[in-house]
Amino acid sequence: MEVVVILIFASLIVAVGFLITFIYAIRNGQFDDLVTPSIRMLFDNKKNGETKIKK
Amino acid sequence: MSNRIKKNLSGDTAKNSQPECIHCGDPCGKGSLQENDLYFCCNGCRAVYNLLNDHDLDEYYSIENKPGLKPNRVGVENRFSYLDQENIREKLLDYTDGKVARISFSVPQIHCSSCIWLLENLYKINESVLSSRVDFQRRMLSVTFNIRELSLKDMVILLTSIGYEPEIRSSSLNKKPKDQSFRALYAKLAIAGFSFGNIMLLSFPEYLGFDSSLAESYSFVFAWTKILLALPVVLFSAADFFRPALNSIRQRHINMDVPVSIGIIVLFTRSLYDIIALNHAGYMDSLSALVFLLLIGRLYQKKTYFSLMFTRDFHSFLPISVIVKNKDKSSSVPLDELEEGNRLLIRNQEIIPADSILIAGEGKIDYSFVTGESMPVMVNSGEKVYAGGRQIGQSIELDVIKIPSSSYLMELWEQTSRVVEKQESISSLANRISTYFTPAILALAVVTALFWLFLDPSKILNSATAVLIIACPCALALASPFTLGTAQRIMGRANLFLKESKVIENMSRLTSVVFDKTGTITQSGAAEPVFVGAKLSSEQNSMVYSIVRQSTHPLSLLISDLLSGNKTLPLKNFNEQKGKGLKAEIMGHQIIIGSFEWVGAKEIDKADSTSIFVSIDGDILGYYRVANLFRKGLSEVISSINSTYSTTLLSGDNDSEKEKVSGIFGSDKNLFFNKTPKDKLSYVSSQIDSGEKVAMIGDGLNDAGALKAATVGITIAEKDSTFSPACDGILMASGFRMLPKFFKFSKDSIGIIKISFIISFLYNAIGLGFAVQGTLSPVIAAILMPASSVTVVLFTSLATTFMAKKRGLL
Repeated sequence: MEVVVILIFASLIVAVGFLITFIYAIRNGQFDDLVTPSIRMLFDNKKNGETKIKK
Repeated sequence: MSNRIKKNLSGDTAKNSQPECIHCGDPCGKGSLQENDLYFCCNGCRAVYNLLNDHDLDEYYSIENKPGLKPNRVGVENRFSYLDQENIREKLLDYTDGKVARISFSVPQIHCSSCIWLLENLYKINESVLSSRVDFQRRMLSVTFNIRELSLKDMVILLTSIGYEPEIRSSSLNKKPKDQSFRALYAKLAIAGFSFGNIMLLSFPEYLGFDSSLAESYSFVFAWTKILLALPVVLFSAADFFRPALNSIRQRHINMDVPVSIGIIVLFTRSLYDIIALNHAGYMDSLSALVFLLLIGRLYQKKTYFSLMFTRDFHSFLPISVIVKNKDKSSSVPLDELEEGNRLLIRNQEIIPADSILIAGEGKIDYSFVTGESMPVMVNSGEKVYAGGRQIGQSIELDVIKIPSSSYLMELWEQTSRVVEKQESISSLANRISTYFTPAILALAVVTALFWLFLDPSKILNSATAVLIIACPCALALASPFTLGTAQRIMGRANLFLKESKVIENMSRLTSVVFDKTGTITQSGAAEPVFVGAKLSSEQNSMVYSIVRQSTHPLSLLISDLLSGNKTLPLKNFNEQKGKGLKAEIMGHQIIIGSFEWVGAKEIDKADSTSIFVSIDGDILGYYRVANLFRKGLSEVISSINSTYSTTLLSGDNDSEKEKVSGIFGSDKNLFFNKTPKDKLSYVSSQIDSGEKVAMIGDGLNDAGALKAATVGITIAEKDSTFSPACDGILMASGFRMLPKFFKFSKDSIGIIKISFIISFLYNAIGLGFAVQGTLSPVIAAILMPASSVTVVLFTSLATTFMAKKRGLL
């Protein structure tokens, strides 16, 4: 039953990892624009192999 | 062209008599062009179409139907010449290293997915564009391009040529976008939520009743983990409550953040004591739950505010620079470097930036931004022209007499900003409650402590702190933002866009409504007059035409426009009676044109239109019917508002339409004509001074002062990009008839907030019952506090939506 403590801390470490990733994503501007990507993803790509230079 | 696109485009021509432009959707009337089987309304649209076609971008037309915009090709080469200047370029660019540059534009014309698609495929039109990205919600376009190959000016010209002219105003020079505030809020929310969930997990032993047996040795570890998890919540996430609370205390009043902050601090310190000294569980779970829920409320508020943000200030209306002529050289000078005596060159459609004297050229100035009158004013050389007017026609030269910061427009602006900051004088409902709430709770805590002092001193700390904890007004703090935020969104969807949610509170307290006339209760754009009666011969038409040309009455101008192809004949004994009609003698015939009394007729049908009768030699041949310019549904709106509020009409026009208007308003005692903007401002101010809560419904700049002085100032906008300086809200013309419903709905919202306050008080009462007895365990706290918050949030959102449906706004 004592293993519960180890489990809790292991899961806490994983969770903290996610939290750090989330905050990193925030600072990188991931959540600045939540509207346009939803529209952008519905555009079709041209079939003839043109390369698009994305920012 | 691919077949798919051909199918989309060719279906429209046969439907109605006028084909629609396949680019922008406007009817192709007089200037229409045809290419193959495609119709365009003008050269501009055809040019854009061909440009897109040449670059293989016809998918633009398949994403949305007729998404195109008419490009404004007037003076394109010259309009952007200021972009060649180094210092201006430097201020506008986000970044440059000499080779590559990046700039963010505001492009208000972005309105659909096709726009996004096209603007992000900009590189296909010009290779020097490396990449472009659209932020749809903020209507911004960010372009990275090779500045050595494509100058900034040429890039702006490129955008203009496809219809997406960026808005570059003097405010762009110092604008910094504000998405940093969201980032901090997201981070705080994440940390609070993280701690909330994990502390609750660690509190399971208490919830399940495993108090001591199992976790004795581990309770130390668990306890300290809880403290560690709660620490960032208090220090970082809750900072948004501590700061405003401190500020408000410094200003000697108590806003909602004060009791919240007290609650958080007491929770934290009491828990620390419980955990460390008493080896109890502590209330850290309630603490982080509390902060988490409150931050969600904040986020909701902020999102609503940003999604409806439209504020523009005065500087976004003036151009960045003007052309100044120095002897024979002309140069582009930024607005703030203008001096008295500068000779300006103002071209067609350009705005006059400063009070000046006309030196050369024919001045035809449209002052609609300043006075609201759309009739251009003819100005002769030597006469004064005012800032804010727009020149129509040929280029003119002006000598500046007043530099921009002190001209008429600015004066009006400054005058209005000196008007008392009405936002503070009517404090919000929530803040007023907290003014009473906080002392009451503190008093209760003291009383409880004293009570236990005599009965059982060991319970003092327990009960007193419990009172402070459970009485935390988290539900109170959530009721307002959620109700008002939901209400604001609903109103936004019904085309009334409010600056901030506090406006709704002000709206619910109104007692009087003041309307402007031109542009507010009347629509802009007149209809063509229709002649009712036997068709007039061309000679008779010429006679009518010759007479009406002599008059400048708006109705005469309409008829004269209609008959403009006809010959003009010489007149004798021309006579015009203001508000009644015209008469003259032409080639021996007596022509009388005007109202029914003027021509001696019996009255026919009125109310729906204005009738201008034509009588030749005593015979009434018929009348011109001019459809009423009043907005649809105006009478219903006014009569509905009349029943609850006192209404007034303030007009800058003359009183020629007085009778018609008094029919709509019910009486003529509250109609005032020939009012200048200053008059309107003083009327509204005097009403406010006498205690009324006044709503001003206007159309823009010429009632800016009145709009700002009013308790609630609403501007009526015909199109998306109206300039609206001082108002609290914009009502799109299409939503005008819902105005009474909006007023009622605002009262409903305040009622909902009051009910949710009662709900949260009930929860508080239950909790306090436990607290004063000293029996408030962490479990009970952990149940009651989130429960109260969630109940309030659910109730307010559902009730507001329900009321909106009931009022017909949803």
